[in-house]
Amino acid sequence: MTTVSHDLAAAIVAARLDPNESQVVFRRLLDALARPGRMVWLPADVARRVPPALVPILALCDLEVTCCVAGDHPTGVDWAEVVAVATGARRGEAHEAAWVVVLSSSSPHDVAQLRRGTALAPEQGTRLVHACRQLHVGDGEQPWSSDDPLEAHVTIELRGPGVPDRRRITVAGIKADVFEALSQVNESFPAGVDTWLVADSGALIGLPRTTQITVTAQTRRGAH
Amino acid sequence: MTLADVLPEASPTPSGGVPTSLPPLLDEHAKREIRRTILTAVAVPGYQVPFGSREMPVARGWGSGGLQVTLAVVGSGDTVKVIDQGDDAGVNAVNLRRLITASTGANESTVPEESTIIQSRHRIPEDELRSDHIVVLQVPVPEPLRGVERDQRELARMHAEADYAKMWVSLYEDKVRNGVITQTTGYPCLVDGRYVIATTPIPRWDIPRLHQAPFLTLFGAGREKRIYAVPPHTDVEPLTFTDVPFEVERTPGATCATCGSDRSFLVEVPAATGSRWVCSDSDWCRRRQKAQGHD
Amino acid sequence: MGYAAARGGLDAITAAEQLVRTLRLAAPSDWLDGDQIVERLRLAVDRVMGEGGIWDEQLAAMALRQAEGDLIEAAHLLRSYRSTLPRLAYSEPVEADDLTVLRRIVPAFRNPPGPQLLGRTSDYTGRLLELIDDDRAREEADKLTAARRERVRAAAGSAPAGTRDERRPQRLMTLLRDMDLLVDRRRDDDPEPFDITRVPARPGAPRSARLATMARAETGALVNLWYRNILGPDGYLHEITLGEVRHGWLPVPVVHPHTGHPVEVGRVRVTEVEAIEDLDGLEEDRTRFDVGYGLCFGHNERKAIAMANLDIACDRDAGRSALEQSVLLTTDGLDAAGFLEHLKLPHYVTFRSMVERKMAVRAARPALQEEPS
Repeated sequence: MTTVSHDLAAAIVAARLDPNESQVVFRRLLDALARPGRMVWLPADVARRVPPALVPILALCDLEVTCCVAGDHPTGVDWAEVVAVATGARRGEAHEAAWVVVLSSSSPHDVAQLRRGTALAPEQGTRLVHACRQLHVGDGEQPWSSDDPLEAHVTIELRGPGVPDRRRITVAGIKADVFEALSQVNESFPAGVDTWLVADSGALIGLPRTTQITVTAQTRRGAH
Repeated sequence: MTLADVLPEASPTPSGGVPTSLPPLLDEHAKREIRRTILTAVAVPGYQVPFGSREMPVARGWGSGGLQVTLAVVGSGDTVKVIDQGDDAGVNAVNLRRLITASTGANESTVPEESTIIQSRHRIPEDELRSDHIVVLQVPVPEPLRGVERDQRELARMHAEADYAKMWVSLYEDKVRNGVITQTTGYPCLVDGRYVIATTPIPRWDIPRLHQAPFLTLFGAGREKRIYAVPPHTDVEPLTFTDVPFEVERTPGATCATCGSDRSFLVEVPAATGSRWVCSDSDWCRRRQKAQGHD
Repeated sequence: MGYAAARGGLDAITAAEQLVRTLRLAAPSDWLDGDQIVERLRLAVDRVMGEGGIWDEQLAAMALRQAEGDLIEAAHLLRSYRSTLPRLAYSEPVEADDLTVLRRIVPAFRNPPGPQLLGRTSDYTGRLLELIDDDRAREEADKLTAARRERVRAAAGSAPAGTRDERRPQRLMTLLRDMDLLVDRRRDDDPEPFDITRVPARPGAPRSARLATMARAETGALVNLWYRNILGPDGYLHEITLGEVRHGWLPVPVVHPHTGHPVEVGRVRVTEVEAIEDLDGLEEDRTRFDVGYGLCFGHNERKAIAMANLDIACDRDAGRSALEQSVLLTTDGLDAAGFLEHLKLPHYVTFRSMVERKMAVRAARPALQEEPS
C-alpha cells in the first residue's frame, strides 16, 4: 500500500538524528540520569518529529544493540520498524533487548521480565524508556494540562545518588504498581534497570537503578 | 600536513565556536557506544564499565580514555578546559585541547567559570565548580585493588561481591608498618557506600572535592578500556579507619611564591637556595595574582 | 623550549611538530615512495598491518614512513585511522582451506599430503651480510627487475604455475584425524566471534577473543611470552611440533546487500599455522594429540607460530595459571609501549604527594631513623 510505505519512509527520515542532534539528546539523557527527578527537556525540533519516547534510542542505538519498541502509538506507524531501519539496531523481545521503549502502557509483569544483568555484568541491565502523558516536578498540585485535568497520576519520592536529600515527581500515565515493580527489580543492585520517563511534551526525567523510589500518593482517574 | 597547518590562530574564541579544522577522531558508532557506556557508569556509580576503547591520536597511557569520554560528551556549544597537573599550558594538555577543539568545533578556555567540560590529568581545579560542569579525569590504572590482587577474575568477583577485605587488610598493615597510611595520590575511595574506586592520581587534597559534589565526574581509562563515574550529590569516602584521620598533603608554612596562597595544592620548586612552592593550578594562581595586582 | 610547566605550550608543540616533520621530510637522499617500502621492506609492512589491524599495504607503507621506521608508532597510526572509519559490514566466515598457498611446509611429516612448497623464505639462506656498494646493488636490481618483467610478460595468458590442487593442499590435520590421532574439539554450533575492538577481553573470554588478541599483538611480545614460558621461570609450555605453516591468500567475502549472496570484495595475505601438541596430562587423552592455531596478516611466521603454541597452551592451562591473562592483557604493542612511555609525562603532583608521605612516615617514627640499616 503506497500510503503506508510513504508514511513509513517519511517516519524513517524523521527518525534519523544527525550527529549534533544525537549529541544534544545524549547530554539531556546524561543530565537526567545524573540528577534523578530533575526535569530536563528533549530538544523540541527532534521531539516533535517522532513520538518523544523514541528519541533516546534514536540518539543512542545502532547495529550493535538490540532494541524493543513495545506498545502502539496513535499515529499507527510501525515504529519498531522505523527504529530498526533508522538506527540499524537489531530487534529483540522485551525480556532480552538492551533498550526497551514502552510507547503506551506497561504492567508490573513487563517490568519484572526485563533483563537486569548480574553483579559481574551490571552493564547488561536493560535501559527502559517509558512514555507517559505528563511529568511534573513536585507533588502534582500544579494545574494540569487542560487535556485531562483529572487524569490518574502517581507521586513518587526519590532518593539516592544525584539527588540532594530527596525529590518528588508526579507522573500521569504510569501506574503505581509499575514503579513498585521497578523498585523491586532494582533491589538486586548492581544488577537492575535504568529508566527514563518521557512525557508527550518532551519532558524527561531519569531514574537510574540506584534511585530509591517510594510511591507517596496516587489518584485514580476523576479523583482530585 | 600537521595540526599546525589546519589550526586557526590560537586566540580567545567567540561563543559561536571555531570552525572545525580536523575530521572527527571517532566515528559516530564509537561515540554512541561510549555514550551508552557513560550512562551505565552513572547508573552504577564506581563500577568500571568495560567498553570498546578506540585508539586515539594520543598514545595509550597519555589520555586516550579521557579524550574518548570528552569527545563523546562534547558539542560545539561547549567550552573545554584541559589541564595536566593543574596546568593548562602543559604540553600534553595543550595537545589534547587542540585535538578536541579542532575536531569538534568546541570553544576553549583556561577559566573554569567560562568552561562546561574540564578534562584533567591528576587534578581537580581549585575553583568552585557548578552543577553544569562535567569533570573528565584521565585514568592510567582504573583498578584500585591492583596492589592487593593480580588475578582479573578474582578482582571482578571482589567488586561484584563488594568484598574489599584484602584492601582493608592492606591499609591496616600499611598503618602498622609505617605509622601512617602511605597511599599518595589516587587514594581508594568508597562510592555511594558500594564500589571502591581508584581516584586516578589526583592528590589527597582533591579527594574531598568528589564527595557530594554539584558536578558530575567521569573517569576514562583508555588503555584498560573502562569508564566509571561519580554522579553529583554522591558520597565519596576515602577508605580509612575511624581512629586514623584522612590526611591531605600539607607542608606547614608553605605558601605560593607567586600569589601567596596557603589554601591551594602547592608543588615544590627546588632550588639551591631552598625550595619555593607554587600553586599547581596555574590558572587559579594567575587570576589570584591578577586580582591582587588591582588592590 | 620547556617541558611540563612548559609555558607557551601551544607554540612548543607546534614547533616540535614542525621540527619532526621537517627533519623527516627534508633529507639529502631521495624521497621514499610508498611502492619502495611495500616492495623492498615488505616484511615490515606486513608486520605493521598485522599489528595495526588493517589490511592495506599502501597505508601501512605511509604509516611506516611517517613513523620513520618505528613499527609500533606505525601500527598506532593505522589504528587511530581505523577509529575514524565506520564499520560498514561483516565479512562472511571463510574456509581456511580456501587459502591459496605461496609457501607451505609440514615439519611433522616428510611427505605430507600435498606438496611442501619452500617458497619465499630466508630460513635456509646463510645469514651473511651482503657487503655490496649501492651502485652495484642498484645495477643488479635493475637487471633482475627487467628480467622478471620479461618473464611475467612472456608468461601472460598461460596457466599459472602449480595446479589448483597444489595451491590448496589438503591439511595435515585431515590426515591425522583420519588416523584418529587427534582429539576432536570441533563444535556444531556457530557462536559469534568475540569482538575485541568492542568488548575488552578478560580471562574467561572465549577462544576467539584469545586468537583475535594475538592476531593483533606485538610480534616481539608474543615471541617473548612464548620463549619465557618454554625456558623461563614461568615454564608452562611445551614446544609444539609444527603441522602446517602456510603463507598465502584468503578471500574476503561480504554478503551483497541486494542479491543476498556472498561476493568476494578482496583478499588478504596471511600466515597460518597449525601446531600439534602432545597431550600428556593426567586428565587428558594421552593416546592422542591436540592442535593449536595461529593466523595473522601478512608474512609473519614467528608470530603465527608463537600464536599457535600459546593458543593450545591456554586451552590446556584452562585458567589455572596466569598465562591466559598474560596473553589477553599484556601483548598489545600500543598498550604496552604507550603505558611505558607515559612515564615521560609530568608526574610532579604525584611526586609531591610521595615526598609528603615520606615526611609523614619519618614524623611518625623518628626513633627508627637512628637504627642501623
